[in-house]
Amino acid sequence: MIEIPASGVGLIGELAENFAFLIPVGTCGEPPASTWDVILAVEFLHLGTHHRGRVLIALTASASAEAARNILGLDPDTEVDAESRRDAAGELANIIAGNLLPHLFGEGEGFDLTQPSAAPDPDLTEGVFIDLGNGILGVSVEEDRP
Amino acid sequence: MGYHILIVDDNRIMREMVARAVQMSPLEIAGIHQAADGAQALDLLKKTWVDLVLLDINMPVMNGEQFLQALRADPALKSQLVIVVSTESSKTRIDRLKALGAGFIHKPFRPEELIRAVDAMTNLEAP
Repeated sequence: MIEIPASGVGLIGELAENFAFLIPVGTCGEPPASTWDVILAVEFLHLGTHHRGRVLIALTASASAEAARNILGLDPDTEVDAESRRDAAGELANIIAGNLLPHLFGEGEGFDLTQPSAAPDPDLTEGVFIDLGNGILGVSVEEDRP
Repeated sequence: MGYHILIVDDNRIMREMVARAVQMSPLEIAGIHQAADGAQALDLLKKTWVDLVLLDINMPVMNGEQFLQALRADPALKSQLVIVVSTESSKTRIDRLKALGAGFIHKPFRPEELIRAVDAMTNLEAP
């Protein structure tokens, strides 16, 4: 696992706020006790080193529902179906991966990214966990060393 | 009269978000069309008049760059206005997309940025 520096945690918070209006209120040292609603993996190929890896993004149900409501401009008490929660998490995963990888590996670096898909491991226990007030966003970056 | 905009993105929520941003623009919008990948977009463009395409890059079936190459190779569609909306960070790739005649907006974007890019591309002239 690649350690995400404080600047990277700040970037993830900014992306969550700018894209999905999820306001970070701090970080949690531990993953949430409740189960994740969505865990997605974006596989990457670093074009400079040809190393492969993945960015894992997880959201609790309240966070994925709030993201979908905010993106779609729905009222706060509107019920959001699983497909919309997954779509919102998927685009957030795409945006976090696309912006975080150059931050970690060097601005201007190129990456091939896959579409977000269900993560192979149905849990996320390591990484950074951002408290969104009404839910948690977890992010982890793994690189397969040759 | 008004502009017909095609939003090409595999993520439904993103298409709806972009559609909302377009509707906030001062442009007179006659129609917003949607496609989930480049192949669907090409099919639609062959049947429907579109003034501007807002294009994602990372999509299944036919990605945004493949779509742009196919578009520029088609005599009937090669002049189509396109703005790429992507998280792409590689300057080499962004330059390659621009060389194919596309504008570029980095995700995530604020609605004002999209509006500025659409305005610049269309010069706010009536179609």
